[in-house]
Amino acid sequence: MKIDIAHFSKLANLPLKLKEQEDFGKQLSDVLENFKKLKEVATDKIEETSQVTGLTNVARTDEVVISLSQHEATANSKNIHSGLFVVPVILEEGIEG
Amino acid sequence: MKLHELTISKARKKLDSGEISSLELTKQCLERLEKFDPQLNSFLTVTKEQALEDAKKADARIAGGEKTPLLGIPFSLKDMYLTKGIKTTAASRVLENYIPQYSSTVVTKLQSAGAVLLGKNNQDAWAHGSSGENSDFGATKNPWNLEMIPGGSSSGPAVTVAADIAPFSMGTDTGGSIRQPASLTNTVGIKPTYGRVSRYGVIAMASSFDTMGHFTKTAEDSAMVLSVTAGKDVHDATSSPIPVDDYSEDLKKDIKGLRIGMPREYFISGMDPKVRETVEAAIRKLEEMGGEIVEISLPHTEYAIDVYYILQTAEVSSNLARYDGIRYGATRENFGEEAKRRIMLGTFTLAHGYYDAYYKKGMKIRTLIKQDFNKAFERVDVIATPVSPTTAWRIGEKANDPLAMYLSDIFTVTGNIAGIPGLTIPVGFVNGLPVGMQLLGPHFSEKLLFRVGHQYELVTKWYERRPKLI
Repeated sequence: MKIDIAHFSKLANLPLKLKEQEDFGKQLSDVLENFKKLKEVATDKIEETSQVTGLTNVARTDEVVISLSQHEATANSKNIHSGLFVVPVILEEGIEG
Repeated sequence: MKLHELTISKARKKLDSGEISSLELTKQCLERLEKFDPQLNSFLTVTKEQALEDAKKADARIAGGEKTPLLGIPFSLKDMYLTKGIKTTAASRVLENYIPQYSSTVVTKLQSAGAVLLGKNNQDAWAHGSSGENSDFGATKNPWNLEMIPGGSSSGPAVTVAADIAPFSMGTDTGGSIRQPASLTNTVGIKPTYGRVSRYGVIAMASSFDTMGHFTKTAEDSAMVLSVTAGKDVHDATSSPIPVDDYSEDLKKDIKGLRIGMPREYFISGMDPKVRETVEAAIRKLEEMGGEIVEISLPHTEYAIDVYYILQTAEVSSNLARYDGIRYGATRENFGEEAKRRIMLGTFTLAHGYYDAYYKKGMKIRTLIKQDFNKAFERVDVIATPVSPTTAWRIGEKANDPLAMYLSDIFTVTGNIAGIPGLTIPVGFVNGLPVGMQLLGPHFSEKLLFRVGHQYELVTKWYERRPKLI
């Protein structure tokens, strides 16, 4: 199976060098080849398991509790401005209206 | 007296009677750490000054009459556990300089209980691995043979206990990362029931699989640690409200009449025949002790490793998306090779057009694997299996073959898929390298697993063997 590694690396927000793209392309193909045998298993009437606890709607009372201060919360960032996280631009001018 | 060889149980008695102090015990453990860790590479951060302070505080509490299981007992933490003010890295360059602003619930509980933190352990980065070689800070070595891997991903924690640096250590088990290194290092490793121990403040790998377990020298000790770490936590919505058992209560009960399942799918030709013989001998021992061996089948076992690598990597790709260098950590090109590989695989199986064939299919087979265990536990009380198809292998041997590496988890992933508890106990040696056996039980049956483990260790005493370190 030929995988469009460049496409998935963009989806994953994971910059890959050309050599990494080649290597991962091959390794992922091999792993996915293995997964094909799962087709053998009859699962039409089977429900999915997304979690194993059986718990539902675990909530706490809606009240404000002590949390991290702004100073603590921003302490590990390399890029702070006036106590706020600086993020890369995600919207640029010139978007079609 | 070789204080570093003491189990928690023996140390507890000597501390409570005043025969030894936590300060003496902690000092000996730290000396051992300083002497041997350059060869073992099992620690990333050592908290020496804090440890000595905590030991003194514990001694004061003991002098005041407090008698609790872990008071004054030294321990270490896999570097996945956030420790407020103490660097926490997941053994990755992405978090090389990360200093948490809060501690995980497990850490808070252990420190409130008076346990003495020696430091943060090395591991496979992000808990991705089965050997300890995926650390961004160098591989950890197996104290039984320094040219061999100790197993992973909780490599550092396993080695800490195996080398008598501390009597217990916390690891994490998502696909076998406690049970497998325990079996390769002659230690006891518990993977608790999913939801038994809070995941709050532990760096997430695969959120529906991650469990917070630990390493000890004996099953008796393992029960003591779980009695402190287990319990519902308001910060972890998946933590169980089921009351915590008295895990030591049944340790002295024999196993006469206990039904022990041997699943045929776990005793396969692909594994090392000597490892297989060693595990089978241990099961015969359980039979001698009064256990009733029942052959069972877990028919979907052959699909487990693929189901695991689809679902786990999907959850990994989601959990690692937060590391973008904005709020903390370095940027994403700093991820190691294995992390990148798993992120890519996970992204693929969750993508439009592939989701149904892989991820959704995986979730359905997960249901079938869970049902296999439910049916089996109607006929047996516990299930006994090998943990690893081989003993420890040479450093570098599987490093370039990701598929071979993934196959080393073949006997352990089912426990995480079903969310059931698993206990590795030492059962012997092949060519000087340890072999462990896994006991699996129904949800929340840890008390039973400890009982079987303890009864077995009383008559076999594999825990008395020690690696030769010079």
